[in-house]
Amino acid sequence: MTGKNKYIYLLLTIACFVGIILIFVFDGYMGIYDTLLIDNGQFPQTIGSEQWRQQDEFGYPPSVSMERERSVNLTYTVENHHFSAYNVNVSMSLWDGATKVADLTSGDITAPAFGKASITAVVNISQYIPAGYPAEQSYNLALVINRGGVERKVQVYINPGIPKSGIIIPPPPAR
Amino acid sequence: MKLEYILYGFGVLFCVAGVAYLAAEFVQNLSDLGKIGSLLLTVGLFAFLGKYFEALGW
Repeated sequence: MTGKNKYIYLLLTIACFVGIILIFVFDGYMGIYDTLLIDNGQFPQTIGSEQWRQQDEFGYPPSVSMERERSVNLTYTVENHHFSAYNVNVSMSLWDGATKVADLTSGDITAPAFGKASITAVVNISQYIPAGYPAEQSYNLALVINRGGVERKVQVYINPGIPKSGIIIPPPPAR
Repeated sequence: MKLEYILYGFGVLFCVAGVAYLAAEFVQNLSDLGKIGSLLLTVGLFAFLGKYFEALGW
């Protein structure tokens, strides 16, 4: 084997390595990434690109549970991994099936190049439960985030509350 | 000569560690095309590395 061949193999190895790095940088890093932080003051939960991709691929939305009487902070963050600024309109709304229940927030955000921007909303979920709905039953809503035509959906499970009359524990059966 | 091999070993180790770090950090954001491209290049990388070591007389 000649010495020249030896260095060709080495160069090809380095070329493959550089190619992998370039793919990771331009395909894995460059782009627009968004996360949603749901903070109820106790257990902050972040929904990121992995969950959004599963939603795009399989259709099922990520889910989050909320308590009726506790306010929840929603922070939607857009990370811009591009060389130019990214300006987009973001809106958050609550839906019950095909019916819009409420607009939570809406506005334009601008993420600078390789920077991030966010929009927040504070939600007290109990006000969106229909009047007369039994407190001891859970309720479902969908949180829809629209970012310049890209739709993100989060299933919101509203936990049952404790009825004002208290919980009645049935007596044990007679033996 | 032994020192050369040790340096080669370090080089390979750093390459693998670098790719592993990038993979852990960014592989979830790769598109399907990027994943298959990375896979092919990884196979090529180890194949050419093997041929290089073979040419060295290993």
